[in-house]
Amino acid sequence: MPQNEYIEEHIKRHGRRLDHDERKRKREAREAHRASAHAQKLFGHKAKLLHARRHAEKVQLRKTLRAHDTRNVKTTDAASTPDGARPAYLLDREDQKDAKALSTALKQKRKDKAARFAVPLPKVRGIAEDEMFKVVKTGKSKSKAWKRMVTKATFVGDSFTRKPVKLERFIRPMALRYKKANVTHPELKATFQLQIIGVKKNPQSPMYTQLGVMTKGTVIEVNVSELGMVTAGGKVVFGKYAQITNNPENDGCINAVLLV
Amino acid sequence: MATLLPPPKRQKLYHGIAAPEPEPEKPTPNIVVQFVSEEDGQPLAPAVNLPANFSRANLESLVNKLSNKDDDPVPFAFHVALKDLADTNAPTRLAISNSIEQDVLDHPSKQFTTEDIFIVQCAPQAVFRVRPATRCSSTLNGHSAAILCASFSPTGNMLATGSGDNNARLWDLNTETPSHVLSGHKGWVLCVEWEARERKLATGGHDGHVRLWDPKTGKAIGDALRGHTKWVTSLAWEPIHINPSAPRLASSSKDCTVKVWNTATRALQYTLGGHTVSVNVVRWGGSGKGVLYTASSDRTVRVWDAEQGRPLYTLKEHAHWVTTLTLNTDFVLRTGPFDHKAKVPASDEEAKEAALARYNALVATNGELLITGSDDHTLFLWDIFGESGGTKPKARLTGHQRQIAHVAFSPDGRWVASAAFDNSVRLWDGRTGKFVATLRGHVGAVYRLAWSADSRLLVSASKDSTVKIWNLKTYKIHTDLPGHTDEVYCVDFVADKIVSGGGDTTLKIWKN
Repeated sequence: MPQNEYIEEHIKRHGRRLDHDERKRKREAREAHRASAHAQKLFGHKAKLLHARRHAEKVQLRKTLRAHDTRNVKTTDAASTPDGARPAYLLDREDQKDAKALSTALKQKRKDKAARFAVPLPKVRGIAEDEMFKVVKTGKSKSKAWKRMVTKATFVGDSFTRKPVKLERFIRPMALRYKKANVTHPELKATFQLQIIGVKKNPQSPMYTQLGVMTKGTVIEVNVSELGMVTAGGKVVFGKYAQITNNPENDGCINAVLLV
Repeated sequence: MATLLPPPKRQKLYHGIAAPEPEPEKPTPNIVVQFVSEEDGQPLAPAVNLPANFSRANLESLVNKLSNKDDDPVPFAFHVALKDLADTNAPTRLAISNSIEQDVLDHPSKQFTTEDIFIVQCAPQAVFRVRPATRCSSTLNGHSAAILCASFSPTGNMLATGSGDNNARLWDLNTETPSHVLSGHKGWVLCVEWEARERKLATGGHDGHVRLWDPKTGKAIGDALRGHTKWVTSLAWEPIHINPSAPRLASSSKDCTVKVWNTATRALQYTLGGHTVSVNVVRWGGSGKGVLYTASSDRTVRVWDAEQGRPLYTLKEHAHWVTTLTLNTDFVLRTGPFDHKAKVPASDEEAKEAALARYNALVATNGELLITGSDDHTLFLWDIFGESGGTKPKARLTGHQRQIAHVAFSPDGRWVASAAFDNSVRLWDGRTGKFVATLRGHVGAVYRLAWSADSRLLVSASKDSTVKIWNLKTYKIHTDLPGHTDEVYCVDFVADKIVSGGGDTTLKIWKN
């Protein structure tokens, strides 16, 4: 078995012999004679096979030649009258096209509306309650188990104050709270660190949405006022939705894609 | 024995109800009326004292009597000018269609009292009358793509249409049947134009070719006239009164040039360069030895001496593309020697004389006026060869709120109608360019306009797939002609037939 591309390596290092091209040309020139001699010598089944192969080759050759011929011929494209004839006085006004264009624009708009619900991550992994919450035992003998600690990243609003210990059922640890997300604009292909405004929807459960739990696939609202985005009506866009693409509890940051 | 009185006359009953008492005639005030010619403002007769309910027909015969010409009686249109109102969209004149009392004294603006002297403007009308179309008499299929242009022959016996299926078609209007298919173009047929003696037909296509056809046999006269590198936007024939034997043909194109072809030798005579952007319209005027008017998207209108192709004037008032251009002599030049009497001239001289007589009759009062419409939403009226002429416009016609699509002079030159993309048609005085009225009713852009030969009816074709006939006395819709299923791209009016075609590939003929 040959080891590695040693021939190519040799050619690369030392070049070819000086008469390589001439030898090659001569060998190719002799090829027809050799093939002819071979064909004349063969008989029987082998001859049949050879001739079938040669026949197929020649057919292919002719087809290629014909294709090349048609490619080079200049033809008048008689049948290329475009559709959608318009009178001369409207020919320069393509931009103001008409009802048809308007209706396509309308359709596009409707599609865009539907696209609001088509998110980059359509499916998320289900998270069971025992993974989401850690049971916190309370009471003098640690016999009560009504308190839960959220083990995922959360968003907690600025104005939030914790409830008294006796009443606080869900603890959202400070270490897993996030205020900013790294949001990628899918069309601009640029990433910005933006403030989180709220959790719009956690697909796992409405309760997690309420708690502000951010897992992979959660739709959050981010503050895009710095991006200078403008609505169709000309107003500056303040908040926009983004979907989380990583597992924040593992990564220690929140990465998201803007939903445009 | 006393004589018996006959029974009282039995009252006539209508459906069991006695006929109402005839209303006593209302006393009508007497008013002083001064009849004034609309053309020069000269009084036609001394002021007369009339009862205000004197009917329109009576007014007409009175004016004919008083103006002491021993011609045949001429029909007149009467109107009273209104004072300037704050609302610029209100009509500026009141047409008298019944009597002075009904139309002027009872008008809601209450500008007139019986104490005023009524200055009634009298405009002579055509002696024939076109009946307004009311129904679709035939729907003709044949084209397989949108119909882009339609044009009646000068006598009105034939119709030519150009279409997006690369064919032009000829239709026989007496039988309302297709007569010939003119195929040869390799692109959409964008414009068709008849020679004014109906001997030839020219078509211009999106392929940049101009083709000539013999309308009698439907055969092409030679091959295409090649030369334009882009599509042909409009065509114009030389007037018959200048060249009755073999009129030349001018073609304007998107490639910024206008070419003038000698149709007898089929040679290119000269090319007019100078415009820097697409030339949208070319018109061949009849003053002097012929004048070419071209309007272009480079915001200029140029005037050329048609004999040599020398530039005469450049009119640079418009602020945007000049898309449409019309002469007040258009109708006369288009129909050449043929008038409503349907007399066919026997020789070239006879045709020349007849055409010249018609042309002179029209330009006698005002000369050849030019009106141009532009994408800057305004129109300009020019009197280039008049005494105040030159490159100064006679009037600027403002009021449209979108780009002007088309402008058309009435055949007698008294009116101008302009159609715009703001869904309205505006009517202007054809001599001074004063605003007269707005015709509203279309719900889409109005694309094309056509006047009847007697200048009493106006037809508009619109994107909203309807054709509408307008009443010029009340400035409202006279008849709505729905039926097309797509935009209407072209309309033409001859005798009492209207023809329209558009995106739905059918040709419709409307008549009374």
